[in-house]
Amino acid sequence: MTNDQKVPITVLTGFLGSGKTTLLNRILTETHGQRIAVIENEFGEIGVDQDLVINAEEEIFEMNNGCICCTVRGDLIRILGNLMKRRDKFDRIVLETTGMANPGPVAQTFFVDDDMREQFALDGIVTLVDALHFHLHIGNSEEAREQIAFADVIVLNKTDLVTEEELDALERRVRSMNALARIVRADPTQRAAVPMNTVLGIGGFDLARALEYKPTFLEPEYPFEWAGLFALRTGDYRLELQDGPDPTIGMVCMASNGPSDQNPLQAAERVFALFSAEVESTAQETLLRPGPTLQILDLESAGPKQFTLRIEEPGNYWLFTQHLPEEFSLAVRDASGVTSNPLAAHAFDPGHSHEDKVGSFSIETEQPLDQEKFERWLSRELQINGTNIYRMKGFLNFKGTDARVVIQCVHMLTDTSVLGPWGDRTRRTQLVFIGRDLDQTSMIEGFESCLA
Amino acid sequence: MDLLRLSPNHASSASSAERCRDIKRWTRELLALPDGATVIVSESRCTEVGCPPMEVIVAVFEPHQSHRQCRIHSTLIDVHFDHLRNAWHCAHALKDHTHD
Repeated sequence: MTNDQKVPITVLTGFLGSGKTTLLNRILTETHGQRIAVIENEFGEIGVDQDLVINAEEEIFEMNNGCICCTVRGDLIRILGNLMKRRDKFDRIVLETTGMANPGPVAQTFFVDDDMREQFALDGIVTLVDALHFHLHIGNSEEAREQIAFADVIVLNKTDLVTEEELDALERRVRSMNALARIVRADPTQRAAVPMNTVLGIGGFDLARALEYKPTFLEPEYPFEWAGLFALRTGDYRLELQDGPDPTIGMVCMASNGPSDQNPLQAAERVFALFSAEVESTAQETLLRPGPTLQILDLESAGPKQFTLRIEEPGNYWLFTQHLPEEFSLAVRDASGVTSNPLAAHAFDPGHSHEDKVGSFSIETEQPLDQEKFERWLSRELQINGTNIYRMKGFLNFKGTDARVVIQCVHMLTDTSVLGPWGDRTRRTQLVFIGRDLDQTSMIEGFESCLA
Repeated sequence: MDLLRLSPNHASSASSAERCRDIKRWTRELLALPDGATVIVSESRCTEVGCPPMEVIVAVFEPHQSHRQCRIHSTLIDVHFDHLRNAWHCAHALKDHTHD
């Protein structure tokens, strides 16, 4: 069966109240010319055939004594079997899960054996996020974190209930948990209103399209999260901070290269290497001066913290901080207490998050891989850490072949395909891992041992 | 469960798929399954404590019934009709014993 003949399936996930049913209603009522069969976990307001309703009680089918890597949804298998008897009645399937559903077993169900792979094409996992309550959900629920991690598309919903700045911060946090997903903001004037082509026909599990939407895929993971350009006069400034998620914060303050130096990404190139220096932390009484050196500010003491930054030449200065200023309520004030606001600022993709155990990181190299070593390493890595590796996608550049290989994993399930020859493209291995408690250092070391 | 298939040639996938179809057909014959039943066949490798390193799991899902399954400690490609018959026999015997 060709890919065009398979039934495309969209999985809607999202915590309770995130707007899944509203989005489902939109999918069913918008004009897109497709007949949609809906599988629901529970009866909602939508009229759904009783045979297509999964009981609220999830039937988890554990093939290997509870190992999540070998767990699929028995109820879903049964319903899909029923549904295929009426194959001529619909063009695609939308499956709305409960707010507490773990997307792993749902996704794995469509890959459980060759017949499932032949009949169905998992088009994508769309996760709805309640912009107002996300912080509450993500802190308390493993399922909410998994729903973000597994998503191909993350819809930020209820955007009218938060400020633009809060929405930006939310997007950064979500991005740090899943570097691969496309993040879409719902229309603030209508709940769950997004263009249909952002949630249907996305090809999230289609290897040929696996890396189509990757806004941050090729961006380096910066060792700092924020940069601001400040116009400072001669004199002493106070860097004021409050308690934050870490006991220290790394910082570089250096003069700009003149009035045209206003691009944070270009300035970041000059600062990047400085953040890898190993330095002692700086106590509050130490006087800070601008320069190409990393300062680790000691924030151990409870309550407000204050550091003095002495400016001897007036001009523009870049301030790069390891964490976002809002996490520590960082303020720059002159001697009379007037706050200096940045002329330009940029938040960088940190590639990690503080408190979220779920995160993602990428590996990229133009050095070819030894295929045998790589297969051995990945096989072992997935056997040991497959439970924690939710998804992985990327391209592989093997030594001795011109084949451009694309790979994806869902837990221990792995699929590869050849997209054709590399041709004029730069031969480069690029992998993105999304998971929980991933030991990035150890995984990168293991990967590097596979270089040819 | 699909095992790691990194080889761009997927050399073994065609024979695995054929054997998978055999196992499904044999299961339908052995259990005299109705049309509405769904059979899945999965080759699984697992490092969890208590799991054999390699096994084939055959599961049957029928409408309004609990699923049934049997396990064969083998790779998918090495499963034969007799293995499957014995595995289903053991699965049923174990179930009957459990109900005693």
